[in-house]
Amino acid sequence: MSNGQRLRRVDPQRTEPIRNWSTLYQPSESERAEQPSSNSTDDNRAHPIHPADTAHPAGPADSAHTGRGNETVSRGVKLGYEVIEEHLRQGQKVAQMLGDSTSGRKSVEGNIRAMAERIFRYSADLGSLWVDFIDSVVGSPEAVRDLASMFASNEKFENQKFEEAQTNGRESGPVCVEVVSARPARVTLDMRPESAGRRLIVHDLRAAGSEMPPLTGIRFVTGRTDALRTDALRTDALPYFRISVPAQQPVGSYHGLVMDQDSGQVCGTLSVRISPEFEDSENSKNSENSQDSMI
Amino acid sequence: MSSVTPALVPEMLKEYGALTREALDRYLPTREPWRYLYDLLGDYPHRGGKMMRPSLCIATARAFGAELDDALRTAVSIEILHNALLIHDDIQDESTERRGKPTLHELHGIPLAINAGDTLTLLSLRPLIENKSIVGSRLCLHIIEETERMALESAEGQALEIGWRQDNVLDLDDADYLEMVLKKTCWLATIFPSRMGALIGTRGSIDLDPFTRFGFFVGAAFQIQDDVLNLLTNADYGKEEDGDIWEGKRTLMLIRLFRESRPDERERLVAFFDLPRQEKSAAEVDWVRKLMDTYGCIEYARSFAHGLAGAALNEYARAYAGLPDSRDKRFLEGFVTWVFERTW
Repeated sequence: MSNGQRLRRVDPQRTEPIRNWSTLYQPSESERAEQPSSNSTDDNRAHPIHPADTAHPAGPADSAHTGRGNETVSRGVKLGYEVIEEHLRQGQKVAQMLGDSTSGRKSVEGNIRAMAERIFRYSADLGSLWVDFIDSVVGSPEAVRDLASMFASNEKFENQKFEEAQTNGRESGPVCVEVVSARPARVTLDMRPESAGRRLIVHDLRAAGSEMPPLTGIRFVTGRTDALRTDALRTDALPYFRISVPAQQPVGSYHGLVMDQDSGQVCGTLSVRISPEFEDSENSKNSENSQDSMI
Repeated sequence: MSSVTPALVPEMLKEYGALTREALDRYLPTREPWRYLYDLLGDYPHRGGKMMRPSLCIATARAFGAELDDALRTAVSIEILHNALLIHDDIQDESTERRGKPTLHELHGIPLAINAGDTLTLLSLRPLIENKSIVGSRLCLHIIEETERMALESAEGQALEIGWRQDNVLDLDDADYLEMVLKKTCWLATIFPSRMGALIGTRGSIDLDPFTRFGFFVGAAFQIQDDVLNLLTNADYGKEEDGDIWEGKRTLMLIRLFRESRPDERERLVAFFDLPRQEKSAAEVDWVRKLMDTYGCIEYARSFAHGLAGAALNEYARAYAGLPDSRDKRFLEGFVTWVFERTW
């Protein structure tokens, strides 16, 4: 520099982004500065933020109107998060304590449930043999249909889902879930009864409240149309959801909606919980939810 | 500047409110003693509240794909319990007006009003029990357990506020206020309805924490706006003007006033709030109100609430991420700005 003085950039008017939610509801400070002053009276509906009382124009109140307003907004958000996160932490502590005290009961419930599942699986397998037998001997389509519905209702009872309570006689078709996962993946599928026979589509499943990548590529595959009628009890003839859990998919719970491809109506919900590793051999079945067989 | 709240919000509040009211009436017994009990039960629900609690519950459930009927009983239970607590609140706060009319205890006396509140509390259980035939026993029990938690949180918040008034505690900070509001207001008004809607809509398969955060931020912003409206002349509001100052309610404005005021003013404030309501004078109430303007307490509270509303919008985006666009989803987003634009 010839005169020995450094060139200096003019100081910016602001040094940080404007993160003031109040500009959602009223002009920003700069916008207000450009506007002619208004002597309008209290119009709370149109300007939720306005000087509280023009009878007191001076004094400490001014600080809240200007730069301090932004500080107050930030302070509210910061304090709010501190309070709610502490509240959630306390809630988790209480839940953990309750969980510990009931863990014994839970394991008993788990055993009973596993036993019940085995019993019903055997009865269903036996049932399908009987259906094949009757089909070959009697050859009566009616008899086969009656038996098929009987065993289908047995599996429904096995599921013990609240969905049964709301079915109220409405028709519901069976849907299977096929899961390919190197890690335990617990699947919960809740389908509305009237979804039977529709062309379904599943949006990407997302983990609520997180930035984790969605679980993508879930497909609804319709069953084989050339299936024999006795295949009503065979899962390979049924429509099914195919879920592939990528190896790099983060651990967590993912949720999404099952929609009717044609009408766009919601037909149910699908949730997949991916756990970090297998706890025991029982968990090695990668789909353990009640909806993993038939609904 | 025009309104930023979509017209959808008041429209859906009206729609879901009417459905809830209609269903609620079926739970109110129609027999004697009318005069001393059952007439009183229907009084507050028929005065026309905002119906935001049941609407939040229904809209959240439907945004997740549930049918109206899946959530309606839970919504009715929430509204019945809300009205029960209002009756008791009004007695505890010595309030004189509710929704533009005299409070229930002003009309019928404290003993009958307490009894009516107790009865409504018990009646709020019936729709939850009937939930079993709609959502099944597992989810029905889960909702009842959540109701128990919400009732405890609300009672703890109410105890905090009453205790502060009883002991004339004024040196509180904003975090104390938020904690009290979280429990006293947010749990019943916004957290619980959002959590229940999500629970019903997803059949219990979703993490409810994001809905707790969303409910907290929008509920706290709602409460601050409610307290601000109490200090402004507004025919729509339906409560006594400056009623919170008469009642000594610990609002964000009062906490800031006490923090910012000079020692001599603080001394006078302590003496004023130590008086029972009957001994407070209109001139002193007016002095407190003007002092709040001098120290920018209303502006401060509004800015604070705007921050909370911003956080509520952020939490909304997280909690409802991935859901397809729907009327109910748009209602939930618009609800946050409605909190500020409402005048009642």
